Amino acid sequence: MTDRLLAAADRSAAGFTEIRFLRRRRTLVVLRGRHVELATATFEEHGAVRCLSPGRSWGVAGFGSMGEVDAAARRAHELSLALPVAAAAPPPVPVPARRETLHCPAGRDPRDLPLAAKRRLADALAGAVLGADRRVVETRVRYQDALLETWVVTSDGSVLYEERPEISLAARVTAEEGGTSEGAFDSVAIPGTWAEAERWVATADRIARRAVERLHAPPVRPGRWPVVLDPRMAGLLVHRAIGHRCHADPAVDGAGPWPLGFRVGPEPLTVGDDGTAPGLRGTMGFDHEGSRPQNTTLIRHGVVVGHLHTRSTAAAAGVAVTGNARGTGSDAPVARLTNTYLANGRGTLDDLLRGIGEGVYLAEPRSARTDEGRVALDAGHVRMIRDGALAEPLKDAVLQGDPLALFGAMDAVAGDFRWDLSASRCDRVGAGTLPVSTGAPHVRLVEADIGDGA
Amino acid sequence: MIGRVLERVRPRVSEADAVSRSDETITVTVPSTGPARAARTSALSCGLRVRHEGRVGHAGSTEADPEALVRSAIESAAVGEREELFLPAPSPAPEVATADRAAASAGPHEVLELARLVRGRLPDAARDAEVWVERSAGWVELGNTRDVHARYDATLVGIGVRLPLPGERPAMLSLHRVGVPWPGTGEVDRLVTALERLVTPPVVGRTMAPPPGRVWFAPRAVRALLAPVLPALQANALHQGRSFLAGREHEEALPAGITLRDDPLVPLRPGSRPVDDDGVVCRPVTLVDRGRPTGWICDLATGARLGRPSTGHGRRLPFAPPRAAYSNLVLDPGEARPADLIAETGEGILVELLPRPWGDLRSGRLVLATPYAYRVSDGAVVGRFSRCTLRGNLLDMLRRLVALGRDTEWAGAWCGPAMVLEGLDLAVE
Repeated sequence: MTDRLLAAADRSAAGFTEIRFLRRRRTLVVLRGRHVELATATFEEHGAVRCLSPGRSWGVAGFGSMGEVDAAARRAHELSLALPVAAAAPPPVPVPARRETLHCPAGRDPRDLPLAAKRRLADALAGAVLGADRRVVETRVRYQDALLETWVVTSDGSVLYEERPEISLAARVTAEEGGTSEGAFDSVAIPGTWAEAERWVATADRIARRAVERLHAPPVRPGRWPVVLDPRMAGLLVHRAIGHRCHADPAVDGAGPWPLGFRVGPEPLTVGDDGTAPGLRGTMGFDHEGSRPQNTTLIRHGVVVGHLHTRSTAAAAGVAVTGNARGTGSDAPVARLTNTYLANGRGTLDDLLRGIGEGVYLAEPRSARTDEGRVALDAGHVRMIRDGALAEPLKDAVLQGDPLALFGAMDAVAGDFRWDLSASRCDRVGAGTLPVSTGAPHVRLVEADIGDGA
Repeated sequence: MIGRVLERVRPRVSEADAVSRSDETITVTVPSTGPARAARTSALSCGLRVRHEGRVGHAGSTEADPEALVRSAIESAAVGEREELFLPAPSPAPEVATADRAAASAGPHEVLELARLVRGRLPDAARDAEVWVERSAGWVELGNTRDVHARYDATLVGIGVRLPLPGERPAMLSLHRVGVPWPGTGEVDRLVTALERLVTPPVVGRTMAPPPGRVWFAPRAVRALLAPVLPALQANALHQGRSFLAGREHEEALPAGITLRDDPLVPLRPGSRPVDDDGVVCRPVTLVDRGRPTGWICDLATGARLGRPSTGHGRRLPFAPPRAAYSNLVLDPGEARPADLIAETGEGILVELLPRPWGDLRSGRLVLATPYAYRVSDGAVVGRFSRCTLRGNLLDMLRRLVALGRDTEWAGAWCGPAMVLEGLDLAVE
């Protein structure tokens, strides 16, 4: 396979040629209640060739099977030549040529597991959430595993292959009582370790308890409150509100990056993106241009110090590549987030709660939205804070506002950092959806808007 | 490929059906500055469903290896549920135009020229816009072990612009038109006119907020108002007990002005097709007749669970099993002329575009926020608000229908008239 890609890159008449090919084998079992709604196995292959000749624009051709790679290389070159030359694309910044093969770690290939065992794990998950409480009326659970193989070959000498396994589980629960209905959802993505998946299932009854807890919880009174965010809320906020403004290329969604030196928040705010952190969804052995991922600091002590770069944006900006080029389907790679984090501060959750007379604790995000420069995060688990301690459960709380105002209100970051292992995905406007992770400690906002998301 | 797959699977299972899709897409993007981008992508996929020893399993592949696909589907069936699968028998399919020869034969040069044409027609206020054109051409082939076999060609062409909108809250305007035929100058004109309407009015602040009154929703915005209704008219919502319209068939559960149909047989629209992905012959379905629910769209598998016939609305995305999905949704017009709509709005607001709502679809309690709300005064648009937020129960809002336009407008697979509502909980900035 690698030889065919290499030969196609060698035969390409373009000045620079890059070929990416992905193969994914996936099994999926979905249960509604105890009933199997879907059992499926899929095999998917697709690739993309990207060509650039001096003084021209990029041409991209997608293809569906290895037999089409030469034709795709020809089409990409033709497209590159066909486009107007009024504004030529800069050539990609040079990176050291690499030859690497990264195989699936022993014992983690989901193809080795019998389908019946996968069904039993999905059954166990369904049993855990259905049996947790008599008020649970509806459940939907999902088991999925995949082995993703990625090849990247470039005409400047990189030849790379990686196998990445993943098992993901998700459960959605609806509880009802007295005419009220509430839901809860959680998921996990694990790089192929069955025992970890079983451990997650063993504690999945907590998802049902969350739904039940919301049944009789009163809604939060909308307004401005002192707020403490759990690591999952804080991580998602950082991904949405900061990470998306640190892509070096504005071409995809029009929202340009914050300039270097721009103050985003206070001293305790340090944010980075780490494509090398082990065991996470955004981690890769190489990016889709063949560059080595790295840990890039984006915000240091509240000030923008870095952007996420592809080889093209790095060339245009005259800086080093950061290994963040990722493409979906047959699209050309653009700068994307991988594993985005808010760095640790000091102290504990109790330290953050201390001194708050009345406030709101927001945890376990259910959904997030960004539009017109505002961010809105809906919390799945909400508690009142009274006299420095977590108090009664609440519901219907959306943290909302302008990102700069939200981070401007941040006055403390705890030292209890953790990665969120949810099966998270990043949807960048116009650039498709990719797996990512986020991580953060607890954080405190002196005051923030809690409302209905408008 | 379908023939080879069915040939292999037929002796090994009791029932099977398969769908194969082929597609070639050319996309050209011309930004206001910087190099243009072009991509050309081809894809082929096949989905197979089998019923083996009473259990149903699925498999999907991009590979031209029928044996691997058949083996995967049979293995999946081993852990699948015991279910009936009443596959259709062959029957004559209706004639419907789903493809356009000019669109199918357009190459990168034509796509680029069209993008340049759009770019050259942009109004001054949109000179920072990025223009894109996408042309997709391919075919759909399907068959089953009862000897159903169908194949039709499909094309789709989209032209669109993206540009930053000025205002207190920066927004990214994304406007496009999608259709089956190759767009002529008339279609480009319509895009440019719509763009001018959106970007020309100056931004005004909340001091220009009208007195509580009426809101005029342009045809493109009306679909978002139906957000709670559409999922409730799908058979899987009925099966899962999630449809608030369940058991209310033929009751006036919705405003009397609402007559809604789904019509896969409208020619040359994105949802047009002669047969669905279950192999069932397509037909128009009246979903709501003057406020009374009269039908639910249904695919084969959900229909079997509910004891209802399929309505020919099975849709199978690559690597997913069939489920009921709308084809071309049509909201019937009313009688109000454009001048009547302006008069009914009075000192009010015109909403041109509405994004998907935020909130609880089941209860209908939703929030809709848009940067495309315009102040109307003396029958004319005098400015754009940076943001307009509508809150409340959308079903209650629809009950405050004052007027329904007599002219309808297509936007992709949606066709509807303008609508004027009153008494809404609305805030502007």
